[in-house]
Amino acid sequence: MKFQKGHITMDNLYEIIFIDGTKFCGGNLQDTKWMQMPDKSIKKLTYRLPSGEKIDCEGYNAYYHFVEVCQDIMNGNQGKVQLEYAYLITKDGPMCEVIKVNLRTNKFEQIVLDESSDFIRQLNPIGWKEGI
Amino acid sequence: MATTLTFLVNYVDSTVAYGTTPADYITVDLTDDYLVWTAGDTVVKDLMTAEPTAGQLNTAATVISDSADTTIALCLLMDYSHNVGGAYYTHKILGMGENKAYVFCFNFGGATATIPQLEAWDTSAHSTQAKHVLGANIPANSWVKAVKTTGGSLPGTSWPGTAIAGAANYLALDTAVLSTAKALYANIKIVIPAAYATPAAETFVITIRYTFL
Repeated sequence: MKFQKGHITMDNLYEIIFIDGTKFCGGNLQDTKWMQMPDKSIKKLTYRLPSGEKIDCEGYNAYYHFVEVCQDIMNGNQGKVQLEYAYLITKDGPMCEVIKVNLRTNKFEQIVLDESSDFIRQLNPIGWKEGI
Repeated sequence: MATTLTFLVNYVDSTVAYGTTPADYITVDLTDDYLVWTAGDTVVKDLMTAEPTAGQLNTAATVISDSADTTIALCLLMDYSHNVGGAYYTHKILGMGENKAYVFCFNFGGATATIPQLEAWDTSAHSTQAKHVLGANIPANSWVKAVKTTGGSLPGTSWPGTAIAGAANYLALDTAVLSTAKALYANIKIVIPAAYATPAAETFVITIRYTFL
C-alpha cells in the first residue's frame, strides 16, 4: 500500500526522504518551498493535511504539488490572497493520483487521472519532482 | 516564495505595455482602492478632487436603453491615496471597452502551475453567479465581457469578449503557464442588455485565480 493516512504532529507542509537518505522539509501553504527542493530522487513524501491527517506516498515515479489561490481585484476580499485548494499529485506509470484539498473546508478528494488528461498535460513541467 | 500578483491599470496610453513604460500605469492598492463603473457626468469623472459619494454615483449611473445594448461608458480607479499625478481621487482607465490591449494589467512575480484566469462571482465565496449583472445563473448572459490581450493582441472594434460568470465561464489570461515573471493583460467592459427589466445597483466580485509551486 503506497497511500496511507494517519494523525501526526508535523510543523511543515510536507517532509521528504530522498533515495540517498537525506531529508527536506517543506514550508507552508503560503511558501511551500517546492521549487527549493534539491534535485534528487524522492523515496518517500509525507504530506500534512489541514485536518491533521497525513498522507504517506512512497514508490511513485514522480511528484507534483501546487497551491491555488484567488485574489479579488474588485469587491469581495480585496487585498487578501484567498487560499482555495492545494494539490498533491503522484505519478505511477501513466496514472496520476491527485489529492485535491479544499482549503476552505479542509476536506479533500482523491482523483485518478491519466497523464494524457488536460489537467495533467497543462501543468507547468518545471514542478515535477523525480521519484524512483 | 509564493508567486505574487500586482493589479495595475493604464491611465496614460493604452497602446503601451507596462514593461515599456511603467509610469503609464497605477498600481491598484487592493486594500483601499476600487473600480467605479459609471456613465459619468460633470461630477463623477476623471480627476476628481474628492471621493465620490453614494448620491453622486447614483446620479451618474448608467441608464438602461429601451432599444440598444448599453456599454457602461467609464471605468474609474478610485485612488484612495490620491497621490498620482496630483491630488486626484479618480483616474479614468484608458482604453476600457475599446480596441486597446494594454488596459488592465496583471503582473505576476514568478512561475505558475496553471494558466491564470479571470473570473466573476456574486461574492468572495466564489460559489454563485445569481446576480443580474452575471446573467442571473445563466453565465453566457453575463454582462461582464472580457478579452485576453496579453502580448499586445488587439481585441478588435466592438469586440464581443467572453461573458464571464462562475466557474465555467472564465477568461484564460495567457495561452500557457508562466515559467517566469510576466505581465498579462485583459480588456473588460460591462454591457447592459437593451430593455433589461430589472434595474439594480449590484456589487459583484472580479477575481484572479492563479497557482504557485
